[in-house]
Amino acid sequence: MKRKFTFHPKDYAIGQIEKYYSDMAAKGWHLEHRNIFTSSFLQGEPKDMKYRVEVASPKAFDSTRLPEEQVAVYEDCGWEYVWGHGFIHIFRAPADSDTEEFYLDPAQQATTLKKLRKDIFFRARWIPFYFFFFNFLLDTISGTNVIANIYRAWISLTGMMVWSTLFIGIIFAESLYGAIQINRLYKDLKKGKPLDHRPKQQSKLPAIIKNCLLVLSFALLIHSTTMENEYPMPVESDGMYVTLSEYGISGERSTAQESEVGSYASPFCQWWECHEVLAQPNTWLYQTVYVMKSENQTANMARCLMDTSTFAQKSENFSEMTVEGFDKVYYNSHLELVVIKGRYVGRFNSIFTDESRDNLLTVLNQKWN
Amino acid sequence: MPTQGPMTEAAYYILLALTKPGHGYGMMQRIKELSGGRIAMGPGTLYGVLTRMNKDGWIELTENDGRRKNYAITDKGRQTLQSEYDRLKMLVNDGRILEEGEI
Repeated sequence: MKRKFTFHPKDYAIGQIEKYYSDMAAKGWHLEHRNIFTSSFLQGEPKDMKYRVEVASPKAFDSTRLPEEQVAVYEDCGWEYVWGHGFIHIFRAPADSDTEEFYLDPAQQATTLKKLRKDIFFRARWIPFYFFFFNFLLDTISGTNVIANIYRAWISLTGMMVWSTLFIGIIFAESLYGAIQINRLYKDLKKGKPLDHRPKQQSKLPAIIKNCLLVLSFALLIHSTTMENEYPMPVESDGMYVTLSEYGISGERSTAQESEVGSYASPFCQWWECHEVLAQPNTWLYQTVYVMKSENQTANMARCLMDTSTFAQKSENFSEMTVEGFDKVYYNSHLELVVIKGRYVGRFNSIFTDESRDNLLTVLNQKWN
Repeated sequence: MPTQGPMTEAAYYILLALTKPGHGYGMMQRIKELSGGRIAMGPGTLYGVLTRMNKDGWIELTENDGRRKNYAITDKGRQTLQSEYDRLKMLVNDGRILEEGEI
């Protein structure tokens, strides 16, 4: 027997669910199961059936079927119990049978919706919290300054940020919409307006826009992951970053701590995140180098790199230097150096002497062209 | 008898119907007969009232042959029904002045 899976109307759209299943039955697809996101149907003769939803009030984490006694009463009255899970339980009967509706009094049916309504509201309420939690997580992963980190994440991990924000945003919008819908249904029923078992077809446009956005942002996410490349640091720099030996500090690379390069790209920039560790002499260089698409963004990025720096932690703790060939050079007591030149921005952490710092700047001046 | 508020029409007719043990569909038919077609209720309402009355001890499940559930009124239910009937009769008696007024 042929089986088919489809996405079905959500729990809050009771009338839509009923209409959807009878429309499917008229086309010869008879409901088998209703799962969380999809329904499965078995193919058979097209039949005119009426489908009805009974909304249960299950306890938390209880997703069992309706009590046997309840099903017995409904089946006794001519309704066949098709499937039930958690809140939503589906019955059907031939369209021309004189089976009585579950509740002749809409106000009484309204009371059955109470718990589902509360549950949908509860779900919608928590989503902004998830969003803040997500940004908070970002903050704890990458350091100190929330706004600077969020800015940097949007510029350099654009694909991931667009995707996750859109994803959370859509879930939020949907839950909010569901909460409004179920609340409206509840109030209408309570006022005595009966449930519409064959409501007007909802516009498909919002769903199409939603899916297009999701696909686009997902493509962006995939694109940025394909641009991502992490590998052991080669002897000679293969990007806009520098190696210690390039500015005169040569020695044996440490085997205890690997030297690594990460190379990434976003719609706004191309960037490298590297660290190099020498065993002999015992020294190291951490660096983050951005090549921005537009020069307008370099000042912001430099400030952001200073605000998220390990030692200074704030841009105010850097002092500005004037160095020929560079737009800006900021320095923090022989530890951190933030440099802007044209579309290039970089942050370098090491233990600098005046000499090694000047050598690094000379190398950068040649490389960043 | 403990004092209690008025009974809902649905509860009153279900208790009346269950003076003869019955199951879902038979009960609904009997309610229609007893009320001369005036009272109809859906299985949702019926089940809701049955559950509550079962919990209150007014009715009980008599036999459980497979999927069909048979219900019957208990002594407590019969007493409750009787006192509701007496109360309603009193109401009607008190309302007799309406008919006298017409004369």
